[in-house]
Formats: sequence, C-alpha cells, structure tokens
Amino acid sequence: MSKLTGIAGIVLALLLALSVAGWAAGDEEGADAAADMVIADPSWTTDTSPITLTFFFDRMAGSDSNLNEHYGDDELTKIFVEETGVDFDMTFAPDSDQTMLNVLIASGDLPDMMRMHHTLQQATQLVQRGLVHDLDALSQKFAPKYMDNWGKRIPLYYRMHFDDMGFYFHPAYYVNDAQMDSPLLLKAMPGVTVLKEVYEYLGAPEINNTDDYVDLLRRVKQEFPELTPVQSLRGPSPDKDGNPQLVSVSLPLGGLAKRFFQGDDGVWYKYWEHEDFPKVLQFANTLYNEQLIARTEFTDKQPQLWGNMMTKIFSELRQDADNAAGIHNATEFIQARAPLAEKIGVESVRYTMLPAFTIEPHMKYETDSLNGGVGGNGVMITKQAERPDRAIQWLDWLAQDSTQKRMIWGIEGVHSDPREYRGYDIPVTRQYLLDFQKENPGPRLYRAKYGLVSMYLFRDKYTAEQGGWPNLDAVGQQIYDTALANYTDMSKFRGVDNYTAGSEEEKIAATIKDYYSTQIFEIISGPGDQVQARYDEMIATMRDLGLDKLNAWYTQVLDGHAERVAKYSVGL
Amino acid sequence: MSELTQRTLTRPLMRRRRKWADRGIHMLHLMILPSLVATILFNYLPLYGIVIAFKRYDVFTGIWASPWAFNNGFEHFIDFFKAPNFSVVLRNTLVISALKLGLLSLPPVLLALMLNEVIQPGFKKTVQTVSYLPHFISWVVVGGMMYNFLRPTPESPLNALLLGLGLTAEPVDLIADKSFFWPLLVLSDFWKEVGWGSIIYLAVIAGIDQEMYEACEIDGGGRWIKAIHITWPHLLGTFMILLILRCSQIMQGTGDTFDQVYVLGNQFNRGVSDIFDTLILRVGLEHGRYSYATAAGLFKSVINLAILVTVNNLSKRLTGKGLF
Repeated sequence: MSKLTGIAGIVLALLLALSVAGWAAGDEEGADAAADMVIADPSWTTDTSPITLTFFFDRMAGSDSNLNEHYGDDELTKIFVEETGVDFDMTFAPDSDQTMLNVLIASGDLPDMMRMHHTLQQATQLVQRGLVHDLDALSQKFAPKYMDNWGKRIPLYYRMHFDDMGFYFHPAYYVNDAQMDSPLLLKAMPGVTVLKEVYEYLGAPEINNTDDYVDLLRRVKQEFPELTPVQSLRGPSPDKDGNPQLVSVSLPLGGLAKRFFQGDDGVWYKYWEHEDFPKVLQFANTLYNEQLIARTEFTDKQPQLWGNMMTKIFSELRQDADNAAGIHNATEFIQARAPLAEKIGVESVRYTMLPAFTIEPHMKYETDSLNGGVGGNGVMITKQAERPDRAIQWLDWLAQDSTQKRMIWGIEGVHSDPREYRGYDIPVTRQYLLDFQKENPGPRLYRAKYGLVSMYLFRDKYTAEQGGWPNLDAVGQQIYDTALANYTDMSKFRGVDNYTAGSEEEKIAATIKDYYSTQIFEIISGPGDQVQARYDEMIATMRDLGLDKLNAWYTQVLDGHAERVAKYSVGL
Repeated sequence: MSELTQRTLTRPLMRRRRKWADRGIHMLHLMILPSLVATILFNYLPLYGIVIAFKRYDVFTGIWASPWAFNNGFEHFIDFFKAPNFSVVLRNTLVISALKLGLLSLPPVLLALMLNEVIQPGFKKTVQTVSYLPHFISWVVVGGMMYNFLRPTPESPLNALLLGLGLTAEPVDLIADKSFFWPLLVLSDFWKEVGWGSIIYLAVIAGIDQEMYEACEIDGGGRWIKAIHITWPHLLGTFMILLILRCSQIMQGTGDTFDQVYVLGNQFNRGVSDIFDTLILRVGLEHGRYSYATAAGLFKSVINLAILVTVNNLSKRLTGKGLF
C-alpha cells in the first residue's frame, strides 16, 4: 500500500511539475517566437509553390454564408489555390466579443494572418508590441507594387489609427478613388420605407416630421389591423451603446446620426447629452406605448424580424435601399402580401422610401453606410508567420482588380458576363437562386454560387452598391435616389468608443453602458409624461459614474483625428 | 494429516491469498488516479488564475507580468461593489435564491412520497417518466418553448386562449412584464426539475426496511402516519444534504439559474432578472475585463463558501445531520 501510494504520489508530483512548467513557459514562448521570427530571403518573383497559411477571422462563420466550408473546396477557390499555391487553414471566431482573439493572444501562438476590425484595442496592442508587420515595409521587400493598389486616401484612413502612422492593415471592404467619384455609387443606403400602395391608399399624406409620420402609423393601425405599423430594423437589439434598435435607428430623425457633437466649450459629447435626444426618446416612447411597433421586436431574433418585414410590417424605420427596391420580388413577400393587395384593390404591393424627415425642422437627417469608402476590417500579417513573403504576395494578388471581380462574379464568360453599368450579369447565379429558393423556401437570398465562399471571406472591393441599374424600375430608382440624397461622410466619428485596454475610460464606459442600457428601456417603456424627468435623472447618474472623463476622451480622440487628417492629407 | 499440520501448511497460502486480494483492492484504488489527476489539473491548478482578481490583467503581458491592481489589489472588488446596479443585482440574486430554496426544495420530496403511495406500477412508471423528461431539455430549448408559448401576439397559445375566453382585449406580454418574471422563473424550474429531483428520494424510500411499515400497520398506523413517522425521518438526511448544497449556490441563484435567466431575461425585465452571473458576463467578460470578472466571481464564491459552512453547522445543530 505504502509503495503504491508512493508511486502515485510521485506520478502526481511529476504531473503537477510538468503542468506548472508548461504554463510558466507558455507566456515566454509567445514572446520568444515573435522575437526569433526568421524572415525568408527576399525574392522579387512571386512564389506559387504549395503552402498552407494559418488564418484567423474575427467573425463568426454563419451557416447562411457557408463560411464554414473549406477555402479551396468550391469551384472558384480551387482555381485560386492552384493559381497562387496558397491554401488556408482557417479559424473563425465562435462569438462576436473577441473571446477567441484574446485566447490566441494570451496563448502567444498567433496565426500567420488575422482579419479583424482595425479599431479593436487588441489591434492597437498588437501594433504597439511589435507583433505584426508594417505592410508598407514588408511589401518593399517582397511585393514592391503592393502599395500602388491603394492610392493615398485608403492608407491614410488606416494610418490614422496608429501613433506611428504605420500601415498595418490590408484594407477590407473599400471603395477605390475611381468608384468614389462615380455619381452612381450609393454612398448611403438606409431610409424610412413604407408599403407604397397602402400609403397611397391612405392618400399619400405628406410626411414632414415625426408627428406626421406617427399620424400615418395610427391610421394604418386603425384601418389595417392585420399590419404592424412600424418595425425599427431587421437586426436585434441592443446596439453597441445598449440602445434598443428603436432608439438607435431613430437617431437620424433627431439629427444625431453622427453620435457625437461639439459643444460651445469645445468639448465633444455623445448624442445622449444632446438637448434633442429626449425628443428622440419621446418619439420612441410614443411608438412603444401606442403599440405602433410590435413589442416583440425587442426580444425577437433576426430571422423573426426579417420574417416580419416580409410579411406584416407597413413601415421600416431603417431599411436599406437594395432591400426596399427588390424585396417585392421575393416569393414569401408576394404570398404574404396577396390578401393585402386584394383588400386595397391592387395587383401587388411593394416598398417605397419616404423623403427624409426629422422630429423638428432644424434637425438634419443624415446617413453614411459607406463609412467614407473604407471598411472597418483588415488583414494583419503577424511576425510569427514563417513565410510573410507569401502572405504579402497573396494579399497583393487579392487586391488585384481581376481577383476581386472573380471573387464576386466568378470567371467572366463562364459564370458571368459584364454589364454596361454595374458588375456582371450572372445567369448561372440567377438560375441558382431560383433553384435554391425552390428547395429552401425562406427569406434568405444568396447572392452568388460561384465564389460564394471566397466572396464572403475576401470580397474587399466592389462592396458598395451602385445606383442607376439598367434593370431598376422607376420606384426602385426613386428609392436609391432618396437614400443617396441623405449621404454625409461620418468616417471621422468611427472608432471613438475603442478605449485603451485596462484604462480608466474603458472601465467607466463599461459601467455607464450597463447602467444606460437598463435605463433607456425604462424610459421608452415608461409613462410618456415622465420621459424628460427620467432622462434628466439618468444623465445625472451617468455624470456621477464618470461621464465627464469619457467626454474628455472623446475630445482627445476626435481632436486628434482632425489634426491627423489635416497633417497627413496634404496633397490628397 | 493432523489439523494443526494442515493449519500450519495453509497459513502461508492464506496470507499469500490475502496479499493478492489486498493488491486487487489497491489496483481498484488506482482507478481513482485518472479522476484525481483530472481534478488536480482542471480544478486545482487553474486556481492560480484567481490572482488576476488582484491584478490589472493584460492578455499580452500574461498573468504574472501584469501589474497589481490599485487600492492594494482590491481595485476590481471596489469597482464591483460600486457598480450602479450592484444593489439591484444583489437583491435579485437573493430573492431568486430564496424563492427557489423556499418553494422548490420540498416539492420533489412530496412527489416522491406521492409516487411511493401509488399502487399500480404502470401508472407509477408513466408518471415518473413524464416528470423526469423535462430535465433532459436544455434551458435554451425550454426558453424558446416558453417564448413561443407566451409571446405577446394573438397567435401565441397563451394569448389565443386569453383572447378566446375574452379575458383580455389585447395580447398580454408576460415576457417583458417585470412582475411576472420571478413567478415564471420558479414555475419553469418546478416543471423542469421536480421529477428529476424526486429520483434521489425515491431511491432512499426504496431502501427503507419494509418491516418498519409492517410494524406500523400492526400498531394501527395508516398511510399518513407511515409517511410522517417512517418515510420522512429517513428522507430528512438526504433532504438536508441537498438543501445545504443548494444553499452553497445562493450567490448564483441556485441550480441552473444563470442558464434560465440568460434565456428568459431581456432588457425590459432586467430590473428583476439581473443576477451576479449575468452582470459578470455583461460588464466583465463581454468587455474583456477578465480581472473584474474574476474578482466578482471570487467574491461570489467566498460568500457561497461562508454560507455553506454556516448552514452546515446550523443543520448539524438542529437536525444532527450535515455534510462534513
């Protein structure tokens, strides 16, 4: 017994010692690996020998976009692998809160390439700790024409986020200078939509402000009880600040779409301190208390909200132009709207977009779905990559116009044919859509079969829709024109909420968000005559929680943005 | 061969046999080893991570290299106590725990006692199976079922019934209505777990010596007397142990309350649904504030441990039964 106990004790002690040694070494390994990284010999010719690079996507692999399928398995990406020699071992985030990203960083075992939002604090830290390559410097060694892909505007956007103005992110979802200059580019997509035929049936009243709009909704509720008068959005609540979508999408109606404003004292404040914000809350409160919205929209998930939009919603507070222009062709929409069309004596119903209106005349309705032409995501090459040369050369290949076109529309002449105004006609895809819908009746539409995987992974260019489609009818064109008319570049205001890790601001922001997100629901679902009083009380408490420190942070960031733009945009 | 000689010859043999038998038992003991190693590796070794509750943990720097937190390492604890929703969360956690302890501890015992009185085996088995089944449905699914059942739309079963009977003019919204959250929480937990909870009591009842019941019958005792004076005293020990174990979860709402609250909670009922675990998830983990989340978790665990020891001592004093 004593011998066995002794042996068991020794085994346990060994296991413990190994474990302790293991985790103690873990932290060092990561740092050592980054420091000892060996860069391959410079080579000016593109290497196409087979190689597998590890790639982390900081986004979930949604089943509807087939991201979980392996790159290189479908018809198009198979060609890409043969062409470049580069295959990928991909990992996707299991959630939307950077847990996997943090685990990767904590383990010290970074993949060759990582795609994430460039304003994440983790991105800043990766840069500050020298764990990722400056792509400008790296490309000079291995892909000398790489920087020519971007012009000046796009790199500036990314450089602005880092103190050393390095270019650490391969841009994703960007619009190049030529596209930006196109009058057909839809720089803004969202707007308030209504069912056109029902609206006309009700006399098409002029909507100049939210009072007119609420009156219209009341009439809809009265005369069309089978319809829910309004839904705020097809996405679930809450947003990044903790707002229900009802409040979030109502901000443009209060002229607060930029989310930040500068006071007379020079300090930048968030919309929640603007004197017009209580008016937005009052509007939301009215919709809630009069049950002009379905209360389930606060608890429903995205598929249900989308389904509602297809079947029983009269108006959407924020709907994208492409949805509004094309949704009436969807089988589910046609079937669900047939009784309504019969009731008002028309053949079919569809959405139209109302010209912009606000709560009060002094407010300006603004939207910016283009983000200044530069997307928030990007690809980093880590210094643990054994072959950074292959990684940068692959990114160079990815940025080529010919690659991007194939990513989206497949191979010209095989999968698609070019069209005069926009992109390509894809007869194969169209047939695929029809077949797909037959087999999968539901609201989701798939854009393309060829390049389906690659498009969702690496479609970086031609991401913006263009107006003036040859096949758009008059109503569709009106929708696009209406949306476009509201465009304002708000790119300066992005990323302000990304705080330094472990900072006082981060702590205060988390505490305030938690408090705010609870109170805001209390306000919009509470009595209408208490909105202002409850709002005042909420702001007073937020001030006690450190709101002024956050304002100082906003001011520092936004003033910094302005200074950098002024400094580095010379010659643009 | 004399008896003495035989005994002398067989003694070493018997000793050897006993040695082998002992070795067999030791080999059986060795089977604990994997579990022991797993427990040490996954339950004890990671305890070193608790230190981040007292540090300003940075994933890039690592646990040991991260600096100590302000206020002598108690920065995150202070932040946690000063959180604007702390008092609300504390109240919710304690109320939910009290409701569940008070209302859900006894029903499994009663169900077991009732099942024990059922004479028809077929009926008894059917009731047992039907009452156990909900336990195997995850809270995510139960939440979805409840959501569909209670949705504030005329089509949902509940509202269709209420509207059909003319009991309400508009669909009622129990999911968003704060006043219904706690009752829904308790009722759904009761539905899901009461059958499963009764299993252990049925097992205890099955082990009671039948002669005691027979003796009671001879003395003129009926079913009620037998249940009160024989069955219940036998169940008391198990009941107390389970109660003590549940008390050690008071700071997390007891049982699977986090899962339940996570699926049934929403922004409208947060004022009554928010518990420590949801606050930790939201304010700590979702913001990457691992030190804060660990501090909050540690606080919860310490209180739970204190409650466990207190309740155990109390139980030993009052009933003579305890865990340790």
